[in-house]
Amino acid sequence: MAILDIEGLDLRYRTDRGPAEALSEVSLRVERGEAIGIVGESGCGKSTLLKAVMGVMPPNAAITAGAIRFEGRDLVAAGPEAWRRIRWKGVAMIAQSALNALNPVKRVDAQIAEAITTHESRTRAEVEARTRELLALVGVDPGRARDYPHQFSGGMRQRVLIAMALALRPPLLLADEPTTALDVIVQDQIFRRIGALRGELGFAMVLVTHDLALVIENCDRIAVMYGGLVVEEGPVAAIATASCHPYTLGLYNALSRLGQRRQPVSIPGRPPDPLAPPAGCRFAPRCPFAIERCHRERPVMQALSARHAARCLRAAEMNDLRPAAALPETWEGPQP
Amino acid sequence: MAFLLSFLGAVWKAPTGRFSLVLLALFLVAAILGPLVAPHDPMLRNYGPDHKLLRLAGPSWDHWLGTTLMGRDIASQMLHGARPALLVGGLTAFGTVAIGMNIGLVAGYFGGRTDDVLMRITDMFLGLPFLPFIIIVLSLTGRSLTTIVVAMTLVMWRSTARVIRAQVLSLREMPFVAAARITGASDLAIVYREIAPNVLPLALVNAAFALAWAIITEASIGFLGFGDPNSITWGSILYDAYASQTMYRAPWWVVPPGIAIMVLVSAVYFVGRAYEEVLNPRLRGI
Amino acid sequence: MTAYVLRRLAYMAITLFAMITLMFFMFRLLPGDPTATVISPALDEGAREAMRRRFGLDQPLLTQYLAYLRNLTVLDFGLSFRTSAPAWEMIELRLVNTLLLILPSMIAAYAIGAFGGALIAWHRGGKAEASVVLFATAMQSAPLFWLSMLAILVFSILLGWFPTGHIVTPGRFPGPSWRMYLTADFLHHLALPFLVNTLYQLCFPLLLMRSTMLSTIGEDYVELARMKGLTERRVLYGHAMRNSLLPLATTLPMILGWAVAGSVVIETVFSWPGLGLLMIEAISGSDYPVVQGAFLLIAVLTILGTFVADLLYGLLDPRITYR
Ligand SMILES: Nc1ncnc2c1ncn2[C@@H]1O[C@H](COP(=O)(O)OP(=O)(O)OP(=O)(O)O)[C@@H](O)[C@H]1O
Ligand SMILES: [Mg+2]
Repeated sequence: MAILDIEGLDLRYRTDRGPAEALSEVSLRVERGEAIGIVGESGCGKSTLLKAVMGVMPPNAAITAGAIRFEGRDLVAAGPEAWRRIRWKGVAMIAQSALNALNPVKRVDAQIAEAITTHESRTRAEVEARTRELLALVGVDPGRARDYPHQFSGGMRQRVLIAMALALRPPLLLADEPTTALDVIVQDQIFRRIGALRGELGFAMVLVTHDLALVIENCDRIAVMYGGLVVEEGPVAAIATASCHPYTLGLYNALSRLGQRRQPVSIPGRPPDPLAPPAGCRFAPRCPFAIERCHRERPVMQALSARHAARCLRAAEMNDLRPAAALPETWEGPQP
Repeated sequence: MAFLLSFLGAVWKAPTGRFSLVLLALFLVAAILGPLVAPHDPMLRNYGPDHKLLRLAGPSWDHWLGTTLMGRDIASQMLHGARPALLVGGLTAFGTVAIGMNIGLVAGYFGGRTDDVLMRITDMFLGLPFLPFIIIVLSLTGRSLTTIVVAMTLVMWRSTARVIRAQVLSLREMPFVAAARITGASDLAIVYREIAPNVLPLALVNAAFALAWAIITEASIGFLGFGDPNSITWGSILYDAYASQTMYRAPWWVVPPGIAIMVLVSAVYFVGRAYEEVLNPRLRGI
Repeated sequence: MTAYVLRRLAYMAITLFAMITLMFFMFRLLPGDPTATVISPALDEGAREAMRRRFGLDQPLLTQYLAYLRNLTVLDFGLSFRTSAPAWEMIELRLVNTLLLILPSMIAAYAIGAFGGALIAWHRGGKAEASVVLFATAMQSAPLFWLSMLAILVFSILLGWFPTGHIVTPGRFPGPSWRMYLTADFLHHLALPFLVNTLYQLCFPLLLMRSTMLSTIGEDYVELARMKGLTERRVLYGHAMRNSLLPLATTLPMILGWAVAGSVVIETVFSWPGLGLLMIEAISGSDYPVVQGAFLLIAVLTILGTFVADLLYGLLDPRITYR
């Protein structure tokens, strides 16, 4: 049984200007021990998806359809109290803005201990030993457990958050851009640490990032999101070599890979307005391969192989289109 | 001026802000025209058709809000009271923000010893008990609207100064200040051209709260018997009612001045808060 | 930490000293010279001279000032111009009365305001929140003396539930007596001013707490607390409210200042024999030693409040270092 199985999830935000559809028909399966990367432009709904899995949506958000199954049990149907018990024990999360995620007026050890005691009854000594062990695990001097967050550097706070996330040995870890605020060297250290911990503890991971390279290095599978939809999903290797969605191809162009003499090419145009998404394919207005049908018809997820699927009407033709997608000229062409 | 318009525009967007602005406009009209449109002379003792003094007469067509123990028309007194309330409140708010903003700007920008000295002085003023201090000053210097404004300003600038200083402390570190410094702008130019416009919104919110607080305080002073003996204020109406010992028989004498103060001050608070919500949308609870 | 407390204490002493000096010279130098107003012109020259000498008003200003300072150190505020009794004796009794009214009601106001504000912010966006905000703003906008008058009108005169004023039924305790405070009669008299003052004073902390909470609720650490699976109660009390109390604590001195200012008003309306009423009575009687004494004591209360709030803030917020 998959550890996490999201099926047909729709989520809306109430805003001053009307309802905004932040997630539509999102389906995603995460198997035990697997690492899956979610990529997509800013505002495509990555954080919204992770928060929905955690069940901590802001009050103006509502799940209007779909299921979030954790170990087979639908949390949306199970209700807030059952959901609360799964949080951190079953799924833990490293939030996007790690620098402000620690409460500034509480000691670090207390904030870790709180996560433990909420779910497990432990003696003080046990909790204290566990806290120190966790800090050592992520490479923070356990002697500083009684410090306050503002006494730590950004990288150390990030490690504290990882330690906190692992406090209950959850089988699933969600990481929302865990290193965006950090410099490249620290980012590297942290990912190596996470990789080592995963090898040791074997938890599954959902990694959200703008950075395709991070996904390629750290994950087994990729899900590409665009405008609240998952537009392509599959094993890292399949997507890297045989992506069947123009948006993914565009993202790959945008990625400047070391050792390759290619200029990064960005995708012109802007992401769709969540208040009024396009009628047909949401990517059509920016897509160099869009045909008239794309502006009319909503594509559905098409299975291309056992584990690879894409949401594109022309997915089957992609083998022929792919070479053109690699050329910068294709993306510079006149856009409507 | 442009700033004032943008302020009004921002407040107008919120329904409570719009409603409050309309109320404030009504009070402003009452302050300007009140004495002209008042149906009676507020100090005149009115007599009934039977030539007897109209003592504590209830509301009627001729006297909308009834009369006082001395037979004076309460509605006319109310109309006369709007002007001193807004005048005293407005002048005090202005003085408070003028002093508080300058001290906050200078202390926050220059820091160091200047900051230390100015903040020690501010702390000292913070130790002054508000109403008792004003009353003592008034009892020593004599009672007039001017002395009331001066006495209130003297104790009210202190909190504005602190708030502005805190804001300046963080603004001072902003890139645009460094940029101005590189172009060779003098300290004074930086403080008043670069930083001051950025604290203006906060100063305005403070002015609104100072206005509200000054109106209440002026009424309290009047009620305690330290008001300007030559003007009719809502506080003095209440003082007369209280001193006459008959107010509990004449609710129409006691209720209107308090309601007027409450509505006016609430409107000022709501305008201030509507503006705060524009500055900080989280306050709207989204 | 100790050094910090000591320095704050030193500041407090300096502030107090400045206040005493200011008061002394204000009374001597401002237009209303006590020798002119207190000592009635009706007295003949000899009697006036004798009186001047008796109150030390014939000495040079500096001598008077030094004597005044020296006397203050032993709580000697001088003799009342009116009763000729030591001013401190009159003040001391009144201080207890003021504290008994103001302190419990401020504690109640602060506690209710903090909880109430936190709760309406937590359950934001409903009709309940809007009505509480409207009600609190209206209360805060009304003058306290007027609310007191209305309360007397409704609860004492119309309903007859409470006495209209005084600390105990007049005539029941002819002289000052500690037993007075132990009677049900005292509590009965305390109830209405206590309730009015509490209701009025809780509006400010309530509204401030609400707006602080609204900012805090959106903070990432509150979200993390929820992600950790803490119960909503623990997120509310342990994180959101805990952190929102900080800004509220910094306003404590201001609130205390207002409360003391409010005491002048509420004591006047309820004829409550406290410091505020004493001050007003003494001013109308030009009894300056008593006025000064009462004022200084009120100022000491305010300054003490500032001091406590500073310490409290330092305790609550670890980011504040005791420099
Ligand atoms: N509380 C909210 N109320 C209304 N709209 C929201 C809210 N939070 C997010 N949105 C909208 O939902 C969409 C998805 O936002 P989300 O934060 O999930 O994006 P993201 O993919 O995580 O972006 P980023 O990469 O910048 O973190 C955006 O259009 C955003 O404006
Ligand atoms: Mg995000």
